[in-house]
Amino acid sequence: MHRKNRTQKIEHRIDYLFYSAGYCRDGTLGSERGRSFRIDTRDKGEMEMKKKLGLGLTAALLTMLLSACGSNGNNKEADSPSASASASDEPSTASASASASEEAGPVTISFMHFKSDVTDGVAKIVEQFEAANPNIKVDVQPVKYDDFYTLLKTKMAGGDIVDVFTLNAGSQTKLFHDGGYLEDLTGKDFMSNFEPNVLQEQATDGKNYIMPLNAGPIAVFYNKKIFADLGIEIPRTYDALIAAAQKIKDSGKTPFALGWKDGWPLGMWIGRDFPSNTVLVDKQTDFFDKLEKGEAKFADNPATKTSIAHALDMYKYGNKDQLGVDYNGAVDLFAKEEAAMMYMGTWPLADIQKKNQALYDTGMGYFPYPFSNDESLNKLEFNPDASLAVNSNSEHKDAALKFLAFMSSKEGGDAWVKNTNTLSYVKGAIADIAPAVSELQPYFDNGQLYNSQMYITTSIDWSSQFTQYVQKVFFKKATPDQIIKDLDDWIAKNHK
Amino acid sequence: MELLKRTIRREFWYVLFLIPGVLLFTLAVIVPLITGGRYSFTNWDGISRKLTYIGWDNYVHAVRDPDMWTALGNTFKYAIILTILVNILALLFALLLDSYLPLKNLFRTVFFLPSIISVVLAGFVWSYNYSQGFPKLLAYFGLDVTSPLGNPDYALFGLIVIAVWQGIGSPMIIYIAGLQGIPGELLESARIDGAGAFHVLRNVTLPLLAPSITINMLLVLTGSLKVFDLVLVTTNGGPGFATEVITTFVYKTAFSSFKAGYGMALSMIFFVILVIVTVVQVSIFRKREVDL
Amino acid sequence: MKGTRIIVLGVVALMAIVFLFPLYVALLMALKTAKQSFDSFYALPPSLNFSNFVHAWETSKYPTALTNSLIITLLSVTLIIVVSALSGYAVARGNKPFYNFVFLLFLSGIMVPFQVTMLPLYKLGKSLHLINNHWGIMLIYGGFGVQTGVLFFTGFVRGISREIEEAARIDGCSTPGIFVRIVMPLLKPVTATVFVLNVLYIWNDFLIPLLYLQDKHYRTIPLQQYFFFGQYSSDLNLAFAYAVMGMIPIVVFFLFMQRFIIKGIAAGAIKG
Repeated sequence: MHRKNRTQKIEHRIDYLFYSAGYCRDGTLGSERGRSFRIDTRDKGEMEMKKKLGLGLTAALLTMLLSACGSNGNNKEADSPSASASASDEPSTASASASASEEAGPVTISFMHFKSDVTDGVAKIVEQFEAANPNIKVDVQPVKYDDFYTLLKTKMAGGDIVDVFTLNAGSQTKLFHDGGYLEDLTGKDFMSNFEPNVLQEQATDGKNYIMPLNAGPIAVFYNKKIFADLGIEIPRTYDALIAAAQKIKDSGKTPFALGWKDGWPLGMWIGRDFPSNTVLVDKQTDFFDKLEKGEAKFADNPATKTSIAHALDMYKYGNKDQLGVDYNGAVDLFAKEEAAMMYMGTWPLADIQKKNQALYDTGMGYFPYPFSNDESLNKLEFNPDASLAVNSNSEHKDAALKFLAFMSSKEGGDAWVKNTNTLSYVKGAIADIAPAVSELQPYFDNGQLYNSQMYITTSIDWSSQFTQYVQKVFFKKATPDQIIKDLDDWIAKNHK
Repeated sequence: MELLKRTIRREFWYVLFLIPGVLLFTLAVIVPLITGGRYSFTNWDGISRKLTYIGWDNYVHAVRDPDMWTALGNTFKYAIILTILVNILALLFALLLDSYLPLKNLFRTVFFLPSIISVVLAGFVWSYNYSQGFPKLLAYFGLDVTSPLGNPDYALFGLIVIAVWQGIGSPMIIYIAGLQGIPGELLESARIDGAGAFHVLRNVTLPLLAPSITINMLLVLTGSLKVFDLVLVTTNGGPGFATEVITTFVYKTAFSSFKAGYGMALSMIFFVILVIVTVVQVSIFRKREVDL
Repeated sequence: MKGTRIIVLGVVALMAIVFLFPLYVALLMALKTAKQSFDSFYALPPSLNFSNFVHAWETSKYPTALTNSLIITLLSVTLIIVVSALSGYAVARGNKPFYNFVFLLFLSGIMVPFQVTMLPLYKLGKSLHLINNHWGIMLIYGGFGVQTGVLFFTGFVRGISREIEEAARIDGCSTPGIFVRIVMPLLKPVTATVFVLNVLYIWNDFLIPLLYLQDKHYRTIPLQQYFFFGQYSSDLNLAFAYAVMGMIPIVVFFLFMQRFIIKGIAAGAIKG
């Protein structure tokens, strides 16, 4: 008897193994199985009990699976919502003119956007559009920026149609254009609501596949009181910025609020400091073109070392736990007036207003980030953010184009500014978003604006790589030279 | 003859019984796997409609890719440390809860509770606690701490802590069940023979618990090799690649770097590694059972 | 001896507090406004304030998500149980080699990392019109769940003696008859196991709904949660309120099912 049990037991254990080996989910299997032999050898009452036990075990295992294994990840992949609103059956009148004829029944278009920090604001703008166009319903799908492109790509690749979506000018637009998903907007009536140079800046292969939507400065917020107490002038050169940071640090405050736990704040900064230095300071104008073809090396570009050194400065003068605090945490530090400066777009303004009205009203200012020591180069970074694209396969192109026409009107532009706290490219749209931002007025008036993102003519995702590598330098896991080599190695296997 | 006919009829029914399961399985696993395997031989970017077959290039590239080896290293480091920690703690809790203790049902519920929460939620709650909750709490005691997730030396460990929190419940229950399966007389007689508590634990309890230990080790190990959600929602592989695991690496390659073909090749390699680990586990396990 | 016991109790209680602490913080966040958390992180809210919950309820379509989660979970689990029981029985009782092969096939299926099938699965679903309805995702869960389900049922059926079935067969019972009348009643415990496991898994699953249920009318709780976090990423208090709401149904389910665990273990303790 005993012996028989032993063999059976072994067999069961082996089964266990199989089970367990598979998925975490089936862990329970093991216990279930192991139990079954006991059922045969014991009395009924015990069997009942064991059954229950088995159940418990399975539940336990299951949860373990759920937790430990990460089985099917969750992640962020796949898709966006957007119901590919093919609800209405009307024939698609694919005439590409903005002023299309009225369509019969109500049409639903899907609109997927990455301005999820202002979800409610965008919803209000859409309501305004729907009120003006009772025949068109817009199914709005806000998606976090970090996940947006993954979702959009999965959807597109799967043959799903999102009628209207946001895109960034440059490599993302090129990618979707190459995939054949973008309607050509060149010469549409509503495009005349934008300055020709803006359109030119956002063109792909000489044509406009996206409509500029919003834009904004990316600059440095500063705490006026801390600056005044320490007698700091607004720094106009990089060295002056660091000298100011040193002064602030000596006084016991934090110079820079860094939310680098999230990837994008550091990526956003590197993605501007580096191209600005590359093109404007070191005059490597074709660096990114060559990078695309695998002909350029980071090692040969002096700006690489400059940016790494700048990053180390930022890190040194940042709040403690630079990579443990996220964006929200950084905004909190600034709003609490513990940190004196924060490199950011205009989007945290609403949050700061909620948390510290006085600071928002009069206590903070905004100045261009001085990436170099040449004052004349240090203009105000002014970037397009979201642009709009229409899917070339949309069944409701007319409605989609109407939506774009609305967004490009003065009414739409004003609505955008009012509801999202960012600026619009629409000619004549209001530009009054927050007291701090008005400090930048002279730069707007004198046209001292530039857009470093224009220089980045490659679709290689060098900035996330750079961002990760430079973190190794922060923690002395690698020297700048090592990571420059790593970057070049990475480019070597990733150029087109 | 009659017997043969009966057998055939019986087999016919069995095959019929199998059909729905096999169909579903084919739909959800086999067909996508084959398609995915096909993509792994192309340079597909994940979005364009054109596919070019490039033979084994993706695989050759993968083997030479130092980032893949880093990711694999992190994955195994994570999985092995987690497996050991979860098992030690689960066993410890099981031993404590197995003894007479007031409120032990309540404690069991508490230790089990985190495992039923979705990983997305756990990651969300924990990263917030790491960056805000704990530092602010410990500041009351004059301690100055920062989030482990912000430092490449500790980030992986920070993840492991979350995984332990979420993963201890089930092994603990298994150990408790295992402990309860140990005949009381054995422990009693060992004690009568004058063995100390530690001695009893080492020489009686642990050997008898061996099957539970093996199961738990295997379950946690295979599960943790496939970790994905947790990494993605809490660190996304950073800082400085310190927590990049193979699944997140595959994911990013396929979706962020526009290299779906290469990503598919990487995941095929990972699939093979999983199979190898499983086979090795099975054979070690077999050997051990024979030794017993 | 008593002293030791108190120390043990102290240690365990301390560990329990540590385990609950992160959830406590989540609840605290959910009950405070952004301003209150900003002013003082650990201060208790001055009054019980459910406005975050109300706001989250209103903006998140929580009832729709809850209904979807319930429908999808129950439909899928039912399918998994029926299909796995049939297949598991066939594998356990059928003639060796072919059935073993099928068994191994299911087994190896669980080792396939989801990353490799994700995109093809989406494309396949798209072409078969399985996207954006309850039925499509049910089939997919069926396909995944059947892998482990078959293992459970096969294992269980193998542990049941064949004698009764053979006797029934001699009495003229056909295979389906035997399965329905004799085998099925015996499968209750393993069915319960498969049920609990799959409910917990499907309820918390995120990726498959993300792929298959893009339409907001079909979103499940974790999916809705994810979109909600994305949309209110700067309003953490609101996000935490939704997180707490999202936890409630599964915690209730757990507390209810936990009776099985505790009873089983307690009974074992008495016997042991």
